[in-house]
Amino acid sequence: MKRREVCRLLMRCSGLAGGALAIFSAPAVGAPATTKLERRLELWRVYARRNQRLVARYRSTRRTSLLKEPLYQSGTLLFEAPGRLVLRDDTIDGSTTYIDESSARIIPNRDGKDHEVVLDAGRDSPALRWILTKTLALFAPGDGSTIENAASLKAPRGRVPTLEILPLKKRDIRVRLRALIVTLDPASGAISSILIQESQGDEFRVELSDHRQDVSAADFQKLMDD
Amino acid sequence: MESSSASTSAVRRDPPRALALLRTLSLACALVWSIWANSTRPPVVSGAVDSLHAEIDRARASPSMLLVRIDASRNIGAATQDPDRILDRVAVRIADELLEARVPLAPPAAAVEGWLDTHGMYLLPISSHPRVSRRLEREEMEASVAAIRARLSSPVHGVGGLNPRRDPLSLQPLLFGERGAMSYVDMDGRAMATGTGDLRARRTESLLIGLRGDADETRVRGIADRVSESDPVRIDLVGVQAQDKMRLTLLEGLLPKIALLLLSAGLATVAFARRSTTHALRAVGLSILSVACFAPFGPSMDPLSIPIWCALLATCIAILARPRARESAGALVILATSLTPLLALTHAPWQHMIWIWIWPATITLAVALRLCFRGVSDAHARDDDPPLANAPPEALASFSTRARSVAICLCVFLIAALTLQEFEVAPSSDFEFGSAHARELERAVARDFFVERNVVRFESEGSTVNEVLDRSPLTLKPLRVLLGDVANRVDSPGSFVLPGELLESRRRSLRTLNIDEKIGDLREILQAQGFRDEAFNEFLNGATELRRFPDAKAALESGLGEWIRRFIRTEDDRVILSHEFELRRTDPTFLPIITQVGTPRGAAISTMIEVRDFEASLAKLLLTQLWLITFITWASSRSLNQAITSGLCTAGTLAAVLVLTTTARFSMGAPLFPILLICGATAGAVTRIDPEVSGAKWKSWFCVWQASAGLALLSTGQAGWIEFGLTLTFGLVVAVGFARFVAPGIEQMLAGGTRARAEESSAPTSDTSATNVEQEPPQ
Repeated sequence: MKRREVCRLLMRCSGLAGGALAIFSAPAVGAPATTKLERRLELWRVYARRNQRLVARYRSTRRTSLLKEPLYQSGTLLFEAPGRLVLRDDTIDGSTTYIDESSARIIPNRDGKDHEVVLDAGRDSPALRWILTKTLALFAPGDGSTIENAASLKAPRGRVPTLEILPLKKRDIRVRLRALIVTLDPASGAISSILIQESQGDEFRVELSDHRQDVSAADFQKLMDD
Repeated sequence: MESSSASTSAVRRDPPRALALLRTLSLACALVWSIWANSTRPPVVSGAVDSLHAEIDRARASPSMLLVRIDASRNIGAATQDPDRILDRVAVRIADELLEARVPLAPPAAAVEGWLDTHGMYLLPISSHPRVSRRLEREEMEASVAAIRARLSSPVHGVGGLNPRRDPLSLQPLLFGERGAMSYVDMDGRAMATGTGDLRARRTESLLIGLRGDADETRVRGIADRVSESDPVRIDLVGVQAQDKMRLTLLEGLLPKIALLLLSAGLATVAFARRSTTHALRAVGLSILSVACFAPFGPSMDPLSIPIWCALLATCIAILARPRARESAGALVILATSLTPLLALTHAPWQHMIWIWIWPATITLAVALRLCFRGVSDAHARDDDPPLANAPPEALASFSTRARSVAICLCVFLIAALTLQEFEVAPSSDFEFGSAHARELERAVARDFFVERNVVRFESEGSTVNEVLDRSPLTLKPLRVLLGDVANRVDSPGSFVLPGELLESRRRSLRTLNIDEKIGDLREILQAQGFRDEAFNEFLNGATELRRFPDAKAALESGLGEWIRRFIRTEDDRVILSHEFELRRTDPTFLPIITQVGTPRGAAISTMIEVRDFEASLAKLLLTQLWLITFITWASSRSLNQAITSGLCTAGTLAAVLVLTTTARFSMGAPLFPILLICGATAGAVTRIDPEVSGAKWKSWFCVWQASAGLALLSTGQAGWIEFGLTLTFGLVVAVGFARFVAPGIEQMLAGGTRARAEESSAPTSDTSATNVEQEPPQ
């Protein structure tokens, strides 16, 4: 009899202890959001670590109220760390965009010199400066601090690892840009797509494939010169 | 000689009744005059620091503004709101409550867009029409539209600010010839115009709202208080007028304090030096009376002139406190003409030279009052200094005295020559006076919006509003050369309207371009290349609408009307329109460029002239004062040696003061001129006050009484006044140092040493003999 009572008491105690453990461990339930973001950033870091020189193919889509239909293009992305990015459309109807930390140049592939546009990301263009910094930081090897700087970073739910980078509440940035959404490859962490949501409703999506990391300098230069 | 001296002493000990009557009468007259003058025309107190500017350049008419800033300490926690939304809400609420008291500081963004959509083609100058024609050719248009499509495939197209909807053919660069030519429309400056014409800072969460010049300040403050209570914002009244009012409030609080300090210091030091409270009370009382008689006719009591008033009062105390026996006419004349060298300035900043007669008149009155009290004064005088003849000649004749004098002079001049190689000139508008909060507000507006004191105006006249507005593009045209290196931007209605003659010529020129047909082609091209042509309707419709003119009437009736009226005022049946340019900085090298294109007005112009002329003005002032003091000394003593000595002591004092202001990095500018002159004149005067070595203590006391003005200024805690106070006190200390330790040696050296001096002592100069005649025998 005594043994049974002791057993019951032990069972009750263990039940209480289990309940207490469950209660105290409850805050850990909220942790996965942070953990998920950290996991995704770590995934991205693994990919970006080897991005000294990157060559990839892309397919871009521009949805804008100016056009009747979305505008599709394909091309080659060339990146050299720490801050040189080129997006070259394949077709003569497209354009080539040269990006560095301080400016962007858009040169139409046809009659480029006549219609070239240089966008200076100086003090007066905070939105452009923000997007240039973030875009270069996405491809450059680093710990992710540049991506997190002056931005709100989120990891939306879903199987596909996605990072949502929002400009902080600054009118002069948000007047032009709403969000930058980056999708990563679940296995390799490679950037599979970048979506730029503009404030006026336009969207630009670029989907990347055929990533070639650590391209030799000679090959890279050759591709740049082509 | 002895009999004369004895009779004089007898007269002084027992003044005649006639003198007593004269004294009473003169005192009563002065008293009645001062009361009448002060009651009928009370002295003006002002908080403005632009009293050195030409009247026409003063920013009296500039409207006040409301600076709205997010109060971060109240916008925290769970109730945190988007700063943009708060500012938008506050702007709307203030606009609703202020109604007509508010004016747009910039052309409202929506009104400008509408205006350019409707009249963009007309606003293009005829010189650009050939280029417009080329861009309207079909091949060119096809290439332009293809380029837009190509650029759309870039990720930075929209974020980089490219927006082809309103300008698919890139014609706007032809319209915006120079950056800043169309106010805040064509530039990415520190601020941008909101939809209601307020200015929104790009870098900080702040908003600037313009107020009409005649807005009721109490009502505005009431509205600001109510709004800041309900929203997490701080609202402050800013602008030149608001700053002046804040300074005036501060000044009114400081004036009694500074007067009390100065008079207390004067009273205490005179009582101590003369061992007589009666003397002290009489000296201070008569000084107040002297200054009060002329204060209503003098310059306004503002932060720049208060130090001069203090110095004047202190000088009167010093003159009235000294024993009669220890002064010479030359010294008094030097003191009275302290500020006379200001006459030498070509640019007359010191309020039309009003000080030039106020200062000597006050000193003269003080001397006259002192003369009335001569008998009483001398009867109570305690003069225990032995006369010159009793002084041991060895002390005066020593070689070391002369060597020391020469060495001090050489050192001071050498240090001055080395130090004064480079110094920065600070204009009077930089004078630091006011609370830290007021200065912070001024800096915030300059940093986030524009520098108000750098705005200059060019005016054009007409008989009606429409006429002056129609002509404004023509009057603005030559001024546009300032944009770029000299000016950031121009605010002018002339950027948006066209005069009748130009309208007609442009319409004729535009008709030759066959725009209707070309725009039809463009619509086709857009459709053919996959664009929605409706997206470009603002441009397509506006380009073909040539029946609506951008004339004065249309501008006044449009959304720009309220902003345009800000630039128009009526004076004596004349309608005056202003073009406002914000200069990049107040650089005197801009002056020739600016004055070449027009007649500019504004604080910046006076500031640039002040800085440009500073060195020449300083040199003129110093040379004039040196010459004046030397001449007065020579005229009063008929001794070239004494004249040179006085000049040398003055020069040394001025050099030392300039060394101090340069090494201590004080604000060196036109406001400092009177202080320098007072120091220089005191140096010349105290050298002449008493040529006897044994009477040297009165030289020191004279400077101590004068320096009480400097000490009173130091106690106020205002940076500008502290610099003035330190400079004045230091200058007076140096002056007495030169008078006591340098002047005797130099004078002896010039006189040819001991023997010559001994000869001189046996045959004193006319001035010395005159002084000795008036001396009271030692008691």
